[in-house]
Amino acid sequence: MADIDWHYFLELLVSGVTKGCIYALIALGYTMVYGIIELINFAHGEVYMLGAFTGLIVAGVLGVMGFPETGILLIGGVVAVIYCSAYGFTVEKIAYKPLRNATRLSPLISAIGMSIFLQNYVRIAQTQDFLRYPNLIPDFAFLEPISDILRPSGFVIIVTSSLVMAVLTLFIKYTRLGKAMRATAQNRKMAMLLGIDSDRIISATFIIGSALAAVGGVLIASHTQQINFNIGFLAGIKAFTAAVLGGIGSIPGAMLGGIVLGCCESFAAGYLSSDYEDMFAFAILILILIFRPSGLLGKAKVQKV
Amino acid sequence: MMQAASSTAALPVLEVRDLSKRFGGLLALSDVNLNIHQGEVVALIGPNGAGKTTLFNCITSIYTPSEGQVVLRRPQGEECILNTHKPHEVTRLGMARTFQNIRLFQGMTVLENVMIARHCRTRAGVFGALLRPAWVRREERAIEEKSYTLLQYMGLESLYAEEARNLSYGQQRRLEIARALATEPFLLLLDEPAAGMNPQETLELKEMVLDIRKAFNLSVLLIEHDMSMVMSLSDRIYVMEYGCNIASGTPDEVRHNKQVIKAYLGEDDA
Amino acid sequence: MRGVVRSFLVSLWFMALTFPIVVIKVSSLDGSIGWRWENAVGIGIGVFVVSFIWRALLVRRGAMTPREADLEWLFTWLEVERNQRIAKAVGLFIGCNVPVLFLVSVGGWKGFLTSLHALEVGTVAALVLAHFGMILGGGALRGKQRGAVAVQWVRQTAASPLGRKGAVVALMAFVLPLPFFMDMYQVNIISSALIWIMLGLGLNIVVGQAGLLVLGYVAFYAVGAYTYAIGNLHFGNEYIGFWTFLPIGGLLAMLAGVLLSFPVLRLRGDYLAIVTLGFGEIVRVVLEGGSLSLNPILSLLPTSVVQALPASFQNTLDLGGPAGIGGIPYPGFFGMKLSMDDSIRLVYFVALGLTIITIIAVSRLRDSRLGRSWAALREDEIACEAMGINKVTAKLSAFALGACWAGFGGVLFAAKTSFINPSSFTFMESALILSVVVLGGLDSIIGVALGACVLILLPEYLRSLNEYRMLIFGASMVLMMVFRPQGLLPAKAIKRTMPVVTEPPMNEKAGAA
Ligand SMILES: Nc1ncnc2c1ncn2[C@@H]1O[C@H](COP(=O)(O)OP(=O)(O)OP(=O)(O)O)[C@@H](O)[C@H]1O
Ligand SMILES: [Mg+2]
Repeated sequence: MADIDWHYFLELLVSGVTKGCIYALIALGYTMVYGIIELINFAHGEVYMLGAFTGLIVAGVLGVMGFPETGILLIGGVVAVIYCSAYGFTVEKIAYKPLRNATRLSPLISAIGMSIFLQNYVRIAQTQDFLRYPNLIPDFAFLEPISDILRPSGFVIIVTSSLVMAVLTLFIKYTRLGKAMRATAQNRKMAMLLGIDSDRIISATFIIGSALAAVGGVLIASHTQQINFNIGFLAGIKAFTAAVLGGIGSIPGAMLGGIVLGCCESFAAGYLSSDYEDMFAFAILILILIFRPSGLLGKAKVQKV
Repeated sequence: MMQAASSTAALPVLEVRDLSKRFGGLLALSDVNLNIHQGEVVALIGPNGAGKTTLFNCITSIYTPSEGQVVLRRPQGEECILNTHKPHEVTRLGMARTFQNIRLFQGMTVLENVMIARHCRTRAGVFGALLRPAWVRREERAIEEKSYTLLQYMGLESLYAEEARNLSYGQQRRLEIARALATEPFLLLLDEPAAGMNPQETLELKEMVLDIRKAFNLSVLLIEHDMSMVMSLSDRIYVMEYGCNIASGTPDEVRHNKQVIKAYLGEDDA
Repeated sequence: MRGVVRSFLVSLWFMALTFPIVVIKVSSLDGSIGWRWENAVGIGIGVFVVSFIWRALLVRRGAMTPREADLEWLFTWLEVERNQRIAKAVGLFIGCNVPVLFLVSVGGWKGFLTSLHALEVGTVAALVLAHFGMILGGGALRGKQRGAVAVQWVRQTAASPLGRKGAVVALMAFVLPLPFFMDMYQVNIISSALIWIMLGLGLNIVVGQAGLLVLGYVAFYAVGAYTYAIGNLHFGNEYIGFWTFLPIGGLLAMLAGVLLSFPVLRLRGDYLAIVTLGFGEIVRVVLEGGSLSLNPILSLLPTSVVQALPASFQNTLDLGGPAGIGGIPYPGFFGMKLSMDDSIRLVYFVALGLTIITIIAVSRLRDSRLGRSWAALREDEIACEAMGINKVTAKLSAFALGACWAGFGGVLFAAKTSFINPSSFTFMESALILSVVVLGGLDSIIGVALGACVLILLPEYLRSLNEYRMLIFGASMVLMMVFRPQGLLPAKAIKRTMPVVTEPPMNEKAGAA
């Protein structure tokens, strides 16, 4: 075992963590929504895709107007976050809110419908081809020595997502809204009795989740440098896997799950076979659900009879 | 109690031995013992959260006990230790139950609710369903008739085509009993059957339980908070508090038991 | 007035929301920017109108009071009966014209006139929209007012057994000679619709009857299709063909269903959905990967059997990869040489026959001991077990039977198209089958059949709308869930006429003791 190729290993690790951060950002949206209304928000992957597209469009417009690249990235990111929050909010109002008291199946099907709708909305309004994403991330001088392991975009992804997740953790822990969200997730009825407006909390959850997905969308698009209307589907499923892996409903779980999943995928693709890269996520998902349905950090729920 | 045992001259049909159930750190049941003899009506009482429903769930294998044994003796004589059984096997062995928070098949009709319960006493499978040979058709008709008869018995026959969710509370409770009876049990467990009923309905229920016991040759274990019903209905009573047996005996014995009075009326210096 | 302001604000919100995606266009070639202001105007007007209808329908559904919807004026106005009639008329008028307008706006006049069946489709769509219009028009669709003679006649016929038999005969008299009057393109489309009815009914067993949400149903369909394609490649000859592979495909799909159900038996609702989705994707990825190592399976078999297999079977199995497998023959008919047209007709009849068998099978299952155990499972798992039903058997049998029908459908699909590749077996297909079931009405056989016809025939005839097909699907799934979650033709409880049993309900045991 002496001759492990450390360089290759590191390369895989870094690319796994990079991907994992994105999964984690999206997974947070799934986990938060699931925690509060027990719904797999299928359209969440689409919000991430919309984030990438909005970023691209803003970048296109600003580029024509001659903005500097770093400015474009920042403005694009901010606009994408705002727009995606609005999308998340609207989707919830249209597709889920009227179904608050329906059976479990209805909102899930509604979510699938929403996901199909949003994909095709972008396909028709924009294009079904792959779009090239402009390279907006500057080269950092201090990354020069390890540039073959960590690309600037990877660096930006890791830093930004760590930052965002730290802010989210603090937010959930210490602000009024964050506390109300935790209370609602624990027991919605009780929270309502205590005067928490659950509709507002649900909206807020969708908004925050979508904003995180938008950050993910813009970041990943600048990393892979191409986007298309159905990138949201696979990313969404994998992020959901990450959320389940970490224990659905658990916020630190989603972060951990994302990174673990990213690394698993990256190593499996690197050491086993890259043909079936997409399959690993599903295989992992099935394995966790069979052997540890409550995930890494989740708590097992016992049904009272 | 010894007398009761010798008068039925046989081993108890249900025997719970030193049963414990833990939920994480919470000891919901600790070393509970309980016996029911053929033909007895036994009541299980205790303050809220004492662990009565949990005991029911352990007996019917919905929960697996942490320690201890549940032994069921069938009229045919075999003896089964239920700890490793699945709930549906327990029902098949001849123990049926109702639920504290009614668990009917709400979207189905009253008759279908009872028909479902005939499942474990009938045998048509996939091919029976697809090809419908004569014996399956006969079986289906028998299921319908038997279920309808049970509905008549419970006074629900006029509602047979109604969806279960449209029934009143008392009717739903009776339907649950009809459904349990349809599995042909020799031991019936009722979890707070009178909850939500008015005094008149409770009185009728009491008569009904005694009737059922005779007509179907059953033993009954019931959880109930309505003391007048418990006292007049049961042959013996077990009292639980904080997951432990604190007393047992005939209604009179229990009524005068110090610990029971304390548990129900709270600590009293007098 | 407040209602108008509100709708105006909503429309502003949507104009702003859709602005970047709908108005700005980034060219995929050079990244240049185009502006399409007309789209924003269209969305603004569209949303303004739709937002009224949306709120009015929510009020009708009881999700809002007229006051909350700012529509008090509308509903006070509607209290007068004459006004209801006016509303109905307006609803009908708009309903009939919107589809036409839509077709025109999508395809242009020329496209509209040339699009094959625009008129037929327009009529159907008009009826659907008119229905909504009438719902708005008040209790018009309820009780006696439903009055329309035709409707009453249909109801009466459907209620009497003789009427039902007559309807079946009439339907058969219509569908049997059909392929001899239509061109082959249309026959093919109808065969597809029939296959989809089978798939819908198969999935309905799992989702509608047993309440297990499966999102990877297409995997079983793929197993069936690839069984025939690969089997034909390796073993196909004069004697071994479609009719051999039809049962094999069904069985293999069933096996796949059982294999999948073992790990997922313990899972609850949405977890089950996701795992089956994952399973579906794994099957697709494997198919795209192009080959499957058989060594693990072969090592289990005795060597003599392995050596007897064709060489192409001995370690890896060629799945054709993304390019797929072609040259799949049509079903044979007692060794006769059939012309192309006759083969297509034969496929139609096979599909029809299988569909009829499916319908009979599914309705029998529904009204059987097994079907009841599924229903119990769907309604309440714990009570179901307490009634002595083995949860594992119930789930397993639902999975197996559901998958089996997908397998049949797959074999037939392969035979019909003579060429298959993984792109016919994506998640979108699973979602479509699911929407057939949901749109028609969970657990309702006629509903599922109707759903399949609507979802498959409509877009086939609406070539000019093809681009919008999935968009409309998605939207209608959401709309259905919000406004009519029970589906177009919801299931009804099985009707039973009770015998008058008068004997006292004595227990046999009591007598014996
Ligand atoms: N699945 C479970 N997980 C964790 N704790 C449980 C579970 N089921 C019951 N408990 C706990 O066990 C204790 C006993 O509950 P149980 O329902 O048996 O009480 P009970 O005697 O039936 O009360 P009641 O008269 O209110 O019905 C309670 O503290 C309850 O919270
Ligand atoms: Mg209880």
